[in-house]
Amino acid sequence: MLAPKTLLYASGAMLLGIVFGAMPGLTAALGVALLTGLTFSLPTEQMLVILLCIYVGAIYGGSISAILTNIPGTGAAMATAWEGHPLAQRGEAGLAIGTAATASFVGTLIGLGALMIATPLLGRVALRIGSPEIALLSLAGVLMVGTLGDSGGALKGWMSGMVGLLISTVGLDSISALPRFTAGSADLAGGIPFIPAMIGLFGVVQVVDSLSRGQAAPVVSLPRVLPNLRTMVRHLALSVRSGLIGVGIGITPGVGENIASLLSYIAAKHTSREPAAFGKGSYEGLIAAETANNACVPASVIPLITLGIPGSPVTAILLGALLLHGVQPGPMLLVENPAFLGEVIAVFALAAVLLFGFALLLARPISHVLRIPPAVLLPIVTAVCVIGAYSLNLSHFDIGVMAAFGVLGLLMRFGGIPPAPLVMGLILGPYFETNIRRTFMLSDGSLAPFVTRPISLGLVLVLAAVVAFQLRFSKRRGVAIAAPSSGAIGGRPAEARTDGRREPDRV
Amino acid sequence: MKTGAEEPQTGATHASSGDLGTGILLALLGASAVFGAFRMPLPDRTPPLVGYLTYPGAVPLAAGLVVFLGGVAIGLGGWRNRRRPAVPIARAWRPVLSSVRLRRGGGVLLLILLYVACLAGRLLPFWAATYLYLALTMVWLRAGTIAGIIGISLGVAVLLEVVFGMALRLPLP
Repeated sequence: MLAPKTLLYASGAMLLGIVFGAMPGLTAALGVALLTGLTFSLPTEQMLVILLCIYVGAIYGGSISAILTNIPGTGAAMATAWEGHPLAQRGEAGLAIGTAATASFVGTLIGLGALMIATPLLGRVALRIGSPEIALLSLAGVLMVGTLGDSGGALKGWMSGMVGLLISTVGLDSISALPRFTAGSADLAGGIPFIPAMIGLFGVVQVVDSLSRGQAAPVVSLPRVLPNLRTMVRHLALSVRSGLIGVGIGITPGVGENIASLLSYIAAKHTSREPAAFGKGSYEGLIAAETANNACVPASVIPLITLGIPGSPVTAILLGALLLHGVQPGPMLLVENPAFLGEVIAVFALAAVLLFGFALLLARPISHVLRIPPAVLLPIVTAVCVIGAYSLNLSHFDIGVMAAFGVLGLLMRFGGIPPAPLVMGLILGPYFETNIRRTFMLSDGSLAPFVTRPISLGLVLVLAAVVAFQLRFSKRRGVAIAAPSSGAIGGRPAEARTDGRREPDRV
Repeated sequence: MKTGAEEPQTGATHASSGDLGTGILLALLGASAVFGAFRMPLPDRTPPLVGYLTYPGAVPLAAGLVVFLGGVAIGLGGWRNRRRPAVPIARAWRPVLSSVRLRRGGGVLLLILLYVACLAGRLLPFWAATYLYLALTMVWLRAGTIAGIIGISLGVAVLLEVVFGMALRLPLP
């Protein structure tokens, strides 16, 4: 892990991650999706180092632009903008970024602790998991992310997930080898390639959307950045609680950092002795948001490793990357490859240290990147997207898939349909299908395994409760299709939409 | 800098008239998936129930049915609210559709599609297609002077070729 080459990769990925997070228009999901294609030829360990470092770095990096320009670099930095930018306006930009860096470091450590403790425990439970449970967990991942997505209603989120599941069935059937929805195309017989689809959904959409806004490069100036340990120690209980919220959200399949930071922010506001200070530059709000979103990152890997179910949209892409490298996450992973958890823990520990160092030392130079006009930077990002989409299979068809999913993503954005559930459906679809068919084959077509096995029954009840609650919630609000938008969750819709440049479904 | 004045509010809290179109599209997609799934052959299995539940079209059929029903529900919600004056999605997108933003975004999307067509159709080598795409996009977005744009575009195209194609030895399209 400490080999010079690995350290070089980790440092480069961390730097790239922070830059990706800091640049509005570039997201953690895009960074991980792009690098998945580009790291295909590397050994699994180095691929893991690069992707996890870029993930951790991007989630922190969003706070830099949020604090300096009031534009959250990622969706997870929305609450950071609400508190960080007023602090910058008061002349405390350096201290605010230092606090965000320290909180992110603490959050990553809390998430790392959870990863170390919870993964083996959950791994033991996971060994009792069979086909019925995996099918239900896959469905739960799709439904959960559909319910708790940033934009659109729950029904639209679920539909997005179902469309993803439908798209995942294109190609040769894994059991009977029968072509499905291929229209006689040899390219489609291999299925819809996952990475180009992701790059299109996240990259092309983001590039077109950001460039259509016609933003000028913001004017930024950043004084010296110092760690704010004193404030962190003063709010130790808040940090721990926010970290635990981040861990809880991270473990929940399909939710992710955006919701973690917002929930933690709301909790901090409700329990604060100075709730009136929130929105005017509160360090409590800043710490709550940044600790939670970074704690969520390692925690979201827990269900991925133990159950094979991603804890966030970014880990969904990570799942695809692992599968490409022949690593099959799920109940058997820790049995067949017990060293894998240690590798992941070591990578996160390295990422936490690098994050803290880079965040403090390189915040000023990185802030200069924000001066590059989006009209110059984002077209270049498109060219890198094309390389990422092509390099995986060396297929020109994949570039077309990227463009097609870009157009689809724009149409979805236009219709208020969140793309994250589609990603979940696309990735979890094959798991769901294979395992549900296997269950029926083993049980002679009986539904009994879903209700006679304790874990299955529990999952069925949870799924039913989620759907029932969401439908009842929608009805109570007097609307047919509704879900809380992130602005509404944060209780700051006006600010989020005008000053904070709300960007739905960015992860 | 442009801010939220032009921001589309996709986080709708009401079913909107715009949902009618979304619902119709989803229903059509679901119906075509159901149709496609019905045409898939049923493997011979005993007992027959297992054959029905495990045939290759079972999951597409179920997912298509759910998408169809969901599309109908979303469409009906949009139909019921077709005259609702304050509809977040439609209201927010109205200025976008009539603004400069549509032209900018539409132009960028068109250039991306042309770029992809050039590469997917193997009409131009990577560096040339990238150079043209970058230059045309920056000109379209008025990112700088023509000389500056040509310099940056050419420099980036060559840099990408060198970094990815030569240094990292990644095959380029």
